[in-house]
Amino acid sequence: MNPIRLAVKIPATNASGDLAGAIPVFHRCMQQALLEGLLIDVADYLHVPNGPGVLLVGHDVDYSLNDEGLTTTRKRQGDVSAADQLRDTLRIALGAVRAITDDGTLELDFDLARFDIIVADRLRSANTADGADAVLAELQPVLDEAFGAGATVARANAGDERAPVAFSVVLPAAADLEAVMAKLPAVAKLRIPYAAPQSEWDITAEELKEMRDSGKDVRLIDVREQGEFDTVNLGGDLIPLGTLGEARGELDASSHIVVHCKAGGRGAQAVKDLRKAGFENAWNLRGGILAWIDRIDPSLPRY
Amino acid sequence: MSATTWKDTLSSTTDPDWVEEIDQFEAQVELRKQGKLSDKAFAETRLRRGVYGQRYDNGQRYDGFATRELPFADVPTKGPETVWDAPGMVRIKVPYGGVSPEQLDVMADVAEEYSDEILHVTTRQDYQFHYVHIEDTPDLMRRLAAVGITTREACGNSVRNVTACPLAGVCNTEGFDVSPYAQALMTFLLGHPDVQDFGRKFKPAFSGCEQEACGLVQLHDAGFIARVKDGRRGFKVVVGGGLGAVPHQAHVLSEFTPVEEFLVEIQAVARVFARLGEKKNRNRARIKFLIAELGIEEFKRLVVEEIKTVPPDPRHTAFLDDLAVTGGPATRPPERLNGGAKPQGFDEWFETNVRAQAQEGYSVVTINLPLGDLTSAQARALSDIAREFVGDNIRTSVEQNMLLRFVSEADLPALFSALDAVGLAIPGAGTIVDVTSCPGTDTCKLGIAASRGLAGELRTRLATKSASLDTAVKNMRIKISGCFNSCGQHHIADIGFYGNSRGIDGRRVPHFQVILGGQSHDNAAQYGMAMGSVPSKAAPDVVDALTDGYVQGREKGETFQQWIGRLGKRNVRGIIQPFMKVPAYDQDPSFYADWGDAREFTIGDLGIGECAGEVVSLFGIEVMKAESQVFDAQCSLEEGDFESAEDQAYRSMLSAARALVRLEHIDVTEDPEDIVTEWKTRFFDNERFFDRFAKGKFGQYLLERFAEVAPSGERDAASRRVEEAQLFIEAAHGCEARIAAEQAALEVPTAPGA
Repeated sequence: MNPIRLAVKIPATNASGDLAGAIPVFHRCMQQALLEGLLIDVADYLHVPNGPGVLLVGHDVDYSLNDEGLTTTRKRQGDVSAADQLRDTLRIALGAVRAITDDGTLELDFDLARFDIIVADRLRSANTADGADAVLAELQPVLDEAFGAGATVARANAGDERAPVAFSVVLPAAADLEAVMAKLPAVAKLRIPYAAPQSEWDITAEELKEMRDSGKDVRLIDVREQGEFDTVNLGGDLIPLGTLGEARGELDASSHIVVHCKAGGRGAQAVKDLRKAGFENAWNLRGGILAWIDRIDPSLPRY
Repeated sequence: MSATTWKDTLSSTTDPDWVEEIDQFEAQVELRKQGKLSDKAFAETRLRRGVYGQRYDNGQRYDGFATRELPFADVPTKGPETVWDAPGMVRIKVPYGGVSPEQLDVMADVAEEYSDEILHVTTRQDYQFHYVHIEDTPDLMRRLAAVGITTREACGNSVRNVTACPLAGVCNTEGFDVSPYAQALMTFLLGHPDVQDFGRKFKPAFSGCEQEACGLVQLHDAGFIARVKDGRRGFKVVVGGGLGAVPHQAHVLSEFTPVEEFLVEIQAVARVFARLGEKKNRNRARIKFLIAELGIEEFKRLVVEEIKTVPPDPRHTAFLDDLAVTGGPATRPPERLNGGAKPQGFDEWFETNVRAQAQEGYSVVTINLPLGDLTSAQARALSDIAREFVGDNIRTSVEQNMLLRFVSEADLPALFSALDAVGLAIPGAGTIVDVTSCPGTDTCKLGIAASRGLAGELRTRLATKSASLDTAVKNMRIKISGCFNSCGQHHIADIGFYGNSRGIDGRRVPHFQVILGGQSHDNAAQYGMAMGSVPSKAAPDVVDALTDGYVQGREKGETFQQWIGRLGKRNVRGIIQPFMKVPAYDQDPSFYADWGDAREFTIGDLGIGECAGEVVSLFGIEVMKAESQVFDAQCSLEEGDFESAEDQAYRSMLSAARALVRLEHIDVTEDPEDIVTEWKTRFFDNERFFDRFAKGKFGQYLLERFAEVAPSGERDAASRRVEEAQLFIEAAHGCEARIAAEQAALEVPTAPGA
């Protein structure tokens, strides 16, 4: 069965407060390409009681954050099986939890020990006991694959045949986000849009990879702190942003330099300083090491 | 369940004409995808089926830093500059706003599977679904058609939804229940060959009585007011009303048309409009322009002549033998509300949301939908509630609310609790809290400012202090449009707003024009006038200042409109003036973003870029003169000095044109001929002045006045000319913004490698 919509809803235990802050978070997620999918706009539905809250509308995926939690809806995937859609949607949803948590401004506590699955396709799956069983038979292997045998699945929405087919999944303990995501390889890669520029002198992760692959003489400078460098690095020279001013004298102003930090902000500052000081070939890695990990080398640990 | 299709599942149970129509549309979708149909032809056909474009569907969006390409797949467009994969809006057609529980269930389904789980009630008693993919539209139509809902002619140059007073049939003051006649008109004209060749849309409306607001017939292309004469039913028929950028009041076509003759008469109106109405220039193509040009007397004569040529058609009267059942019987016996325990919040809700019907023991309950939005889950719950309490008696209103009719009064407490459980028992229906708004920048391609954002903010603010509001203030209405096109019907509110923008120190600031003095009673017999633009973020404070001023300054029994009228425009402007100032960006950057949006404001999503540069300030100073002249024109209009009003309006356009010319040719004189010649060569002939959507419409206003300066001295013409001048000035602002954007683009070098 290839449903036209499949959603995963991850609860947030303390989301009942003011969610207006989700509007800038979702805008940032678009600007910096932190979420998967071809994202189109942010719709504010906070005025609707029990509504979608703040909705990030995409072409192939929607994200909505309301006082129950985060719902990630895959849509228009008619050629993808329910199992593969669940695989994808779970990974994307967990990625969104990670992005919102990384952003930090909302201070939500996502409960990774339980989630709901909603399959809205009344042509292909009736919300009856038999219909739900048939859907679950297709989804169960993915749950086993991602969470082992410990997940308990119960049918939800059973009281109303008009409602979409839905299940509540309860795990024995909170899922390890990174580990689960690693088990769920992308099936149908979503279209990821642009990331907004962070400086006038950005390069993308793909461009950096091309430069390095072509053997071009590029000096990579990591402007993060020692602890971050120890967690994960791209083999650049560590010059924390605070020390760049003094270290600058030792650098060759005519050489090709790419600076990077974690997400691009410090890198942008560094490249501005360098350009001002006459470094005409200094560039900032847009999105920082996180962009590199997400797009080029997902085997590296994120932090 | 077998993997079949909606087409196979539903075709046998749907009206065969509708099945064929939708199959045909699906084939056209496929043809266009294969490039075998032109995008213009496809756009026309999809619009006629209610499938609209939506904001960002040119594949571009400003993300807060710059305008970026949305990386949609490279496939054929679905209209000029309209990307195939970009989501769009689908509007359905619900005559007189009536739906059954079964229809509500299906709308909930399609909203959940193809849209964003929201059913949006429009200001014309319709429903809209947003963010729908073009390839999902045939199945969406099939599922609605199976329960008797069509999307046909819900958009495009066609007869749009037939609206009617939502209290028709249960109202104390009506002549008779107009609903079956609204249904008959809709059925008769749907797909009728005589309504396929209009230059522009055509909106009909019905009202049960003349003095109430409900039908709003004065602002419709055709309006029907129930009248009984010598025991016969008929209508007073009015034509040529409309809001839009320049509002017109409708003219009387007939004081009494018997119901036996009203279909043939409207058919004749349609034929005259199709034959003589403007086709090329869509900005002058509504029937209001034809009637203004011919004069109502000549138009009447043409209609009378035309009636003689309309071929006999049994459908003109056949409907009378079998008047449509609109709503069905009450499901519960009429019983009085007596004594029992009332749930918490009941009294407050009862006061504003419940109204006694003409039928003893029954009430109408209004469901106050915030900004007209209802979720799929709520819609399902509501259909259950309706089945239990009222059956098929569900309607929508132009205030974007829903109504349950034939509620047995004894059921009110139980109904309240059932609605409250799903967030549908919000009090304050029809009060100042119940703000009406068009979609604006949220989803509309033409939106300039966030009408829904402002409406949401006003709802929140006013709801928190609702208990302490003066009764007279509580009864006021606020209506908001995202641009001058007036879909939010800002002209007929006590306080109306429409979105525009202003350049301040090289940045754009979202603004709202304040419209005061409009009224919705007497079927919207008076339109409000523009009082000045305030920054979007100051608009709620303006509402406070106006309502406070009214409470303190009114005389006994004085309505808000009367108070505004007594104060006069200059004094009212004095109240608004303090809020017109925009703080510098570094003092308060919040003014440079709109409500509910984290991005810095832009009008770039209308298809034009951001701006920067010194040109703004010079222009800003020059154009202020135009703004004050058009304000003077409004004052003259109010004072009844129509000649001065027309003259001042003309001069304000000249000032705005001169402000533009001076950007390039600083020595232009004050001579009108010099100004118009320079402006025409530099800005109009090369289409730089053209609005992306309205094209040369606004520029034409100046050329028309320049060609014929003599004032008419008539109220209607003067008031239209003042409106036109206002729009010309808006267009000058827009033109200047585009020029500034071009300059900015030249100055900022592209970052290499980016």
